[in-house]
Amino acid sequence: MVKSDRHSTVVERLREISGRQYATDEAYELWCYTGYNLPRTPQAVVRPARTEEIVKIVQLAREEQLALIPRGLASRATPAGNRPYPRTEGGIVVDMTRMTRIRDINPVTMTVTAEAGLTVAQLSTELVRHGHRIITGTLAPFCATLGSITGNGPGAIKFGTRQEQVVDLEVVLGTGEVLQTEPGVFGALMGGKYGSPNLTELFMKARGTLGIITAVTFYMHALPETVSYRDYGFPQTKDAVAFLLKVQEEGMTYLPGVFEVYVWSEHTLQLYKNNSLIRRQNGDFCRLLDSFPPYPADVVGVVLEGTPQQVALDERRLDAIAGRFSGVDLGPEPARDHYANCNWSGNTKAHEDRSGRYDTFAEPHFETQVDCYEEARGMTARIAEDLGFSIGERYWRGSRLSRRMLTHSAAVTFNDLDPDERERAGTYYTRVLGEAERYKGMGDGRIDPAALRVGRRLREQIKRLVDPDDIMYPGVEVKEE
Amino acid sequence: MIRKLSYACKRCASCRDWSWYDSRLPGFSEGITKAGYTICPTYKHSAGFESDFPRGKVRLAMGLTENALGATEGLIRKMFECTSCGNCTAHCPGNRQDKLDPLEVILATRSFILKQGLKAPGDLHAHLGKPLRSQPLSPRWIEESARRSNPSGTLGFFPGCASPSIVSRLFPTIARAFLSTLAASGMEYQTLDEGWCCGYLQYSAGDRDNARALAEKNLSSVRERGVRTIVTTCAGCYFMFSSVYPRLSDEWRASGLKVMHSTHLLASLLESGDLKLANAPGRSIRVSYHDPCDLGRKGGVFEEPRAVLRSIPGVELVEMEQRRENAFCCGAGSGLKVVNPDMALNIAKDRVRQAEETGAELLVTCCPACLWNLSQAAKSLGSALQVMDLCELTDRARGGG
Repeated sequence: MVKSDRHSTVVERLREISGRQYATDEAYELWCYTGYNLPRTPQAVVRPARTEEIVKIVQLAREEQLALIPRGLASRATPAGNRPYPRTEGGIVVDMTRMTRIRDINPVTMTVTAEAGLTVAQLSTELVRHGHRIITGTLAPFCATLGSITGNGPGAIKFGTRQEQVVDLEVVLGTGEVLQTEPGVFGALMGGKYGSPNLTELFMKARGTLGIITAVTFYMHALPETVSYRDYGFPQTKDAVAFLLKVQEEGMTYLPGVFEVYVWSEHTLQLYKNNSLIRRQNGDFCRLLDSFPPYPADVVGVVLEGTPQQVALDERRLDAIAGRFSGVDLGPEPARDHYANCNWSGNTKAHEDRSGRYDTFAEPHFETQVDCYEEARGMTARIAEDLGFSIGERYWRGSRLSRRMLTHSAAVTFNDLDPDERERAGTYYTRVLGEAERYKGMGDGRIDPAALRVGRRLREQIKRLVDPDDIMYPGVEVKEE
Repeated sequence: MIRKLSYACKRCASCRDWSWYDSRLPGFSEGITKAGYTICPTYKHSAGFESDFPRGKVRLAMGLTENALGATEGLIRKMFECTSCGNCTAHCPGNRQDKLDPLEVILATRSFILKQGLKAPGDLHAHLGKPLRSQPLSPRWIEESARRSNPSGTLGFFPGCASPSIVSRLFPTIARAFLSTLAASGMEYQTLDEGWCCGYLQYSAGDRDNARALAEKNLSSVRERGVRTIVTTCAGCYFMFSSVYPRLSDEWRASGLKVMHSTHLLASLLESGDLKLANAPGRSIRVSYHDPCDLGRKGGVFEEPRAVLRSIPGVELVEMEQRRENAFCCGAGSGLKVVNPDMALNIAKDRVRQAEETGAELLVTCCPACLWNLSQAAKSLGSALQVMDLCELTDRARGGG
């Protein structure tokens, strides 16, 4: 790909498309858009407000052979923020956060269509007024924009993954065409499950390499009458995992909550106990921490919803199952805080110890089959020890209770201000995900390595068809010639 | 410090829009999600790029202090296009873990810029160099009958600077109303009319050295007069005396001076019965209250103004959604009226619209800068909403004015 050197012309043309004040190539602004999910400085940023503007931006990019990098709120609330980097310098960042219209709320088909720059929070606020909601996964990343939330992410036990909640996408392809992946009422009601192949999933999982998502149609759901939370403490990790698997076997896969098994190392316990904010704002959680034994104790976070009668019955059933594995009811606060009050997610959490370091977590996630999780646990511990880290926090999560997979995460703490530690943390991250495949697992981004190899040629052909000039995340899907 | 705080930013963008459901947060109506409303007032009236809200400004701070960015005119302007309302800090999850204070990063970066010998944008730089003396309360301002100056009184009224170009037409009426009320309540006070500007503009622009110098000048003036308690009608002055001066000046911190806002004193007088408000209007009037950022969110004063309002016969207090700790800024703070007057006015228009949504006929506040900007906005919108200072409303209810 040839990089255009006509910067000023490009910015002027972007200004003609989106308005004078909505395109810039000011150095300080480009700096703001660099880093985190884009390590290379773009040459311009544009904030379009309409799909038609994006069509023109795509045409410009094709003429000038420039990469297009769509961007939402860049909150890193979803793994979409971990998408691969375009392999070229420069390029145009398409800041989608002006595209925030709710196009249609349809109570007949129970679907809602909104533009990709709207956040989950903004959409949810509006839907609550109508008595509805969308399901975005139990770890509700409310600061994520709708375009990113369709890319990746863990799923809800009851409602399925985020991808399963998406009915239809509007996508601007690399050719400049606007594609509606499931047009028509039939498509909306049936979610494209009948008749034609499901193009929605293709573009959702393309991570921006096939086109720019400009609008999303979600299924809507009614607001539940009652929501309840549960946390159980178990004496050993294996008891917590056994509880989780038993709940699956008992058929309670209608529960919405993701089950998370936290393993509290002494290090992690102390970090939380020393955190003045938690002490100040969440006395219940502190009492919970104070009750922990000095060695790891496991907590499983549960969310229940329905009528009060249904919820009460589910609570009794869960209590009984937990009791079989020596589980103790620890109260609702940790689950409530985690799921209802939307502690921001993302791959780092900051805790400052008293020496003035700036401690952050590196926390690679991968999924393993249930018969491999102990080995996976050993693998992450070995790699951490090899690199001089101690494991700060680990948790497992069944992303779909009907499936026999667990999501494994083993976080290490490092000082973000120390370049050496930062590099070692990066090495830890890469090595863990590299090893994940040996445990029948898949790493962050949910890319199946086998599928990557098998479908590669087909995907390259699709890519060439919809993005002939390779302007959407260039160099990622198609090898450079 | 800037670098460390900058790295604490986890880029959740809560400083732009409020994205979290949390009906337990104060100021929210129970059971209603408050997600999606704007946190940063300048963001909403800008082009909406990263540098237009605190997350981007924090990133700019990182770039400046790591020498990855040059302090161009455009960058400097972005750092000064902020009202320092503190709403970002109040909603920052990083701050809630006692780590990141986006506002502090912005102010420290302004200080960094000035220390490099660079100038604040436009006319603001000219204002910084000329801190004003507080104006004496001449008979031109205060009715003779309201004067209860007691040169040996330990309560000192700080009238503040009275820049003729900004607030002089407001200060006299507010001061007159407040002092009339004090006099009618039997309070003795002296006026600190030889003081200097509190230095709010200097401090918020990052000129901490001058702000410190003003603090020490004001301390001398206060000591000379034997004052032990300072009261002011200005939210900015209150913030400076109560929160900033103790940080800037060891002497001030050790002085033991008590600082009150006019609303503290009014509420206290009402509670003790020394102030009686019997002058009811002919009908009930719907009144909304704008929490000034420097008094409310940064000063922690929410109840006293409301207590005074509820004591006024005929007043029905109707609250805006974004209130108390979550109050939306009026747009006048931190010199934005000088740096970008259009933006400042547009922000105020948003606030006026929020007040109109409550059905209020009158919008009351306790800060002359808020009063000024909100009044201009209401006039610009052709709104029927009146804007008034709480001291004036209270004085009228007392039978004064």
